[in-house]
Amino acid sequence: MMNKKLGVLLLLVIPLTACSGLGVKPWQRDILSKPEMTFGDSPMDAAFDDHIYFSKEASSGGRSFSGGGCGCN
Amino acid sequence: MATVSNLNGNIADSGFHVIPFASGWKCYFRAMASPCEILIGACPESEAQRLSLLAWTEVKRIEQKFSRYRDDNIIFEINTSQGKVIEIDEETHRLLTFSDQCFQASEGLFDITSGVLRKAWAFHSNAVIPSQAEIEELLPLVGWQNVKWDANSIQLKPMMELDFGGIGKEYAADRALLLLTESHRQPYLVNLGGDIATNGALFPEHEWRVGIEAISDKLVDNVLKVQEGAIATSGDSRRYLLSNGIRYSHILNPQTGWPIKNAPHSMTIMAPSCVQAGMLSSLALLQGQDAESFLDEMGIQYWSQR
Amino acid sequence: MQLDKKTTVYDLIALASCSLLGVSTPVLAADTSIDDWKVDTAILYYNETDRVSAVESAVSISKNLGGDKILSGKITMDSLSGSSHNGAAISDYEQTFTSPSGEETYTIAPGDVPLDPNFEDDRNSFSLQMSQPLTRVMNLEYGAAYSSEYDYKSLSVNASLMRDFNQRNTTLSAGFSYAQDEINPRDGLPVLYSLMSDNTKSGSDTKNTIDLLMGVTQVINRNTIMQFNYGFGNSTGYHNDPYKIVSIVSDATNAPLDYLFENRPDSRTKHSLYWQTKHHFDQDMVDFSLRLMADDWGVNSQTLDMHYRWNISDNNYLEPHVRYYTQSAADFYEEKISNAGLTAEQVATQYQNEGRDVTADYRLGNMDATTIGVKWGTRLFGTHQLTSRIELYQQSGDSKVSDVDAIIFQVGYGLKF
Repeated sequence: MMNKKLGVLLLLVIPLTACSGLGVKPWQRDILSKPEMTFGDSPMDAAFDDHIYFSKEASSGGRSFSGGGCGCN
Repeated sequence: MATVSNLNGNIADSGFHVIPFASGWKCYFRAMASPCEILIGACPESEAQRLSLLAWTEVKRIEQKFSRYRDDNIIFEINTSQGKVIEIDEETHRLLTFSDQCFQASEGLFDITSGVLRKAWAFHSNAVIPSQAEIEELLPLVGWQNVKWDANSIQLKPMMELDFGGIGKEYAADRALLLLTESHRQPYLVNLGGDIATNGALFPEHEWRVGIEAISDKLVDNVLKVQEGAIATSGDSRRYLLSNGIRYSHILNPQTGWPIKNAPHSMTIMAPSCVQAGMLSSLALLQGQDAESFLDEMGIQYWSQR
Repeated sequence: MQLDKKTTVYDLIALASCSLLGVSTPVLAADTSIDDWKVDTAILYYNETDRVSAVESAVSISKNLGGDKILSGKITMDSLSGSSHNGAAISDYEQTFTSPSGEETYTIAPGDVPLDPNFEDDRNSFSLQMSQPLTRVMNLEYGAAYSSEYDYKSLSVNASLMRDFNQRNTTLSAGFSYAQDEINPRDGLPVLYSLMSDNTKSGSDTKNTIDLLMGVTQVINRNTIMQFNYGFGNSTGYHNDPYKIVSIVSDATNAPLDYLFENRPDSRTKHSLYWQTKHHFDQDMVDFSLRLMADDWGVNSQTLDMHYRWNISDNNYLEPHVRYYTQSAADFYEEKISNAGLTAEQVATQYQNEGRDVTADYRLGNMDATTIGVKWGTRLFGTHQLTSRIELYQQSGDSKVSDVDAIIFQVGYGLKF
C-alpha cells in the first residue's frame, strides 16, 4: 500500500537582488505589461511612417535601423 | 464548495496565517497532517488573504471529503457499506477513474484497496512481523479488479476498504493551484507537506528552489530549481520496520501482502502536475530494486535516496 | 520493447492526471499555446496636394514556433503616382523640361513649382524576421529583406542581440544591418555633371549601407519606461536621385540657361541619438520621443514626437499625435546655380573640374515639417484590433518648392489566434 508521508521539504525563494532606485520589482509590472507600454507596439504604423519620412526628409533611423532603400519621391 | 463560515472553527486550529515573504506573501497552515504553505506573488495584503483563504478552503474541503480518518465523509460511507451500493458524486468518480487508470498502468501494483493490509502490518516501534497466515487472511480483501463501479455508484465486497491516501495530497495541491490561478492569474507555489505545485516563475530569471532534506547523515541535501510544474516525493522516510536485521519498508505489494524489497527511501520527481509526479514516484517505489531504472527508461528526472 | 512499455506507462499516467484535474494539456500552467499566430494587415493612403499620391498595403504574419521562437514575414506593396519636384528652381520665365526618358517634354508656367507630372512607381518588398531566445535573458533577432521597384532593388540583412539585466529592468541591445542597393533606371543613370539638354545616360550603380544600433531600455518606475539609442550609419556608392536636376540661372536676366543633373557625395556617415519615454497615467498614456541626427553632409535634424493615448474604455482608445521635424541644409545644397557670366556648359565643366557636389532637392534643404493626427483603436472579439488614423503632414522650407501638404489615412486590422 502506498501511504505517503514524507519528509519535510525545505522551501526557499531566491532573494531578490536589491537594486538601485531605478526599476521595479517583478510584481509591479502590471502597468508596464500593457501592450501600449511596450516599445514597438504599432509596427505597421511605424513601418509606414518610416517609409514616408525616409522618402520626404533627409533623416532616417534612430528608433530602428535607417536602412537602405530608395530615396525617390 | 465549503463555505468559510462552517470551516471557521478550523481556521485557527490549523494555524492559518499570512505573512509578507520575500517578493510577496506566504500563507502557512496545517492540513492533511502536514505543514502547508502557499507562496503568492506580490499583491495587496487583502488580496493575499483572500487567495490564501481560497487555497486553504480547497485543501480542507478535499481533506474532509476524502480522509479515511473521518466518520462523516464518502470514504467512511464506502468503507462501512458492507457490500451495499453507494452513490458517488462526480469528483469521487474522477478520483476512482484516476486510480483505476493507475491500477491498469501499473499492472495492479497501485491499488487503492490495499489499505486493509495495514491491519496486519503496523509500523510503530515495537511492531512485529505478521505471519503469512495473517496476511493471507487479508489478501482476498485486496483487489481493485473486484470492485464494481460506474459513474454514479460504487460497490465494494464486505470488509473491503478504499484509501485515497496515495493521491489526496497531490490532488489537493493541484486543485488549490488551479483555483488560485483561475481567481487571479499570477505566480503561486503550493506546498502541501512536500507535494508542490507551481504555475510559473515570479519573473523570467526567477526559479523556485526546493530543498530536498537528506533523510540520513550519509546523504546530502539537494536543491531543485523549478520554473513551473510540480514536485512530489514518495518514500518510507522514517517509517519502516526492523526485525532480525531486515528492514521492512511500509510500501506493500498488494499482490503478495509483503513489503516491497530494496525500494529507495525516497523518490522525488518533477512533472507537469503534482498528481502525475506523485503517481510516478509511487510507481517507481513499487518497483523496489528497479525503481531508478524504471524511471531512467522513461527518461524522467528524479532524485532518489537509498 | 521494454522502453515502449515504460513510455506507455508515462503517457497513461500523464493522461490520467490531466483528466483528473480537468485540464486539457499535460502542462498544468498551460500558457504557451495561446497566440501562436499573429496577422496584421493595413492599408495606407497618402496624398499630397497637387503632387504625388500613394497607396501602400502590407500584410505581416508571425508564428510562435514554440519556445518563444517567433518567425515573421511581411509583404508590402505600394504604388505611387503624380507630380514630383524635379529639382529646378521656380522661375519668372516659362520652363520646359524633358522627361527622364527623354521622349516627352512638359512646360512649367512662370512662378510655378517645377513638377514632373509623370512620376510613377510601384514597389514590392518582402521581409523575413526571426526572433529567438538564446537564454532566459538573451534574445537574438535576425532577418532579411528585399524590395524591388522598376529602377531600384535593395537587399538587406540584419541581426540584433538583446540582453536583460537587473530583473529585466534594463535591456541592452546591439545590432547591425547591411543593405546593398542597385539603381538601374530604364534609360541609364545621367552621366555625371551632364546637362539635361545633353540627355546622356548610361549604366547603373550600387550603394552599400551599414548600420549599427546600440540601445538601452530602462524601466524607470511602475509607470515609466525609457529607451536610448545610438545609431551609426555609413553608406558608400551612388547617392544621387537620378531624376533630380539643378537650375543654372543667368546672373543678368535670372533666366534658366540649362539644368545640371544633381551630384551628391559618394559616401555618407550619419550619427543619431534617440530617446523615447512612455509614461502611463491612471488611465492614459503619453509617448514622447526625441531624435537628434547629424551627418557629414552637414544635415542636422531634430525630431520631436508625441502621442497621447486616451483610453476611453477597455476596448477603445483615441490617440492624438504631434510630430515636429526640423533640418538644416546639406553643405552642397543650392537652390539654383548662378552662371557668373559663364555658359551652362562652362558651369558644368567648372563643377566637374572642382569635383563639386550640388543638389537642389528640397529634401536636403532647410526644412521644417509638422504632422498632426489622431488614431482610433478598438478591440473586437477579444483579440482582434481595428485601428484607423488620419494625419496631416506639412513641409515648408527655403521656397515654395518645399511647401508640401499631405494627408495620410490608414486602416489596419490585426488578429491573434
